[in-house]
Amino acid sequence: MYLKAALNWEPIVAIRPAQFGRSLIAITFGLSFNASISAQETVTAPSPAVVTTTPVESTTPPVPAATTTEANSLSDAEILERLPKLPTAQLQNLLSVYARLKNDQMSDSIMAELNRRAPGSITAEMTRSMRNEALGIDNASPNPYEVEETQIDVLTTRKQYAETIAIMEQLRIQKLGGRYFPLEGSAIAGKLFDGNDRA
Amino acid sequence: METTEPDFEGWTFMGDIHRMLGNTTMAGASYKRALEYLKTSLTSDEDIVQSNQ
Repeated sequence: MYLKAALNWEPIVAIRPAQFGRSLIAITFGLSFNASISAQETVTAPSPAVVTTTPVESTTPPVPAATTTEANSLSDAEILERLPKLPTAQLQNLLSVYARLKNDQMSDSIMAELNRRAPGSITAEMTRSMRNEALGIDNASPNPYEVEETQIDVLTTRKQYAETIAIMEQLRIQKLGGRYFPLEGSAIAGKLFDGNDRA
Repeated sequence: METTEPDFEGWTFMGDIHRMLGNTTMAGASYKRALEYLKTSLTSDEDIVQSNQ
């Protein structure tokens, strides 16, 4: 389109020295220019746009690639055979991974071996906790004061401190027999209250 | 900065993060890498023991 307009410009320039009226020149140029546009639109096809492709960074994390060590590693059956010989720390590591992989057969076998080595309720509880932790199960016991804690949190957020203190005092007298609250660091707080640790 | 290959704890930790984000496929892949690492360390430990005997 631009090229056509330039070509049509030449006759107009040629006319100007001949003292033609300015308006006539303008009309002539305008007509020729419009004609060139229409001609251009009918003849030429739109030039294809140049598409530049930029590498898009992948948002998905890379899949861990397999290594050559896998060929040399033991099978599950071989692990089971060696369980009695393996150190306890390695058994615990294996249990944590097999439990995460939800391989119940291997997990049960390793737990049985761990419990065989150190029979007792504490060991069994620890092993079960370790497995639950691996499975993402909460090991914490239910909080007996959850309702009161929620109430206190809400009141404190609303800055209703008098009501908060009243609920806490009621809880302390009725459920804790007038003792200190079983909070973290309560032993230190108790000593401070008694004045034992004061300088 | 020198980087090292993550050990089984690293792969397990990565798997836990993927599991927490709901990406079970990636979590499983990371846990398998952790297991492979453990199995490989077991065989290498045995090799060391046998070479010392």
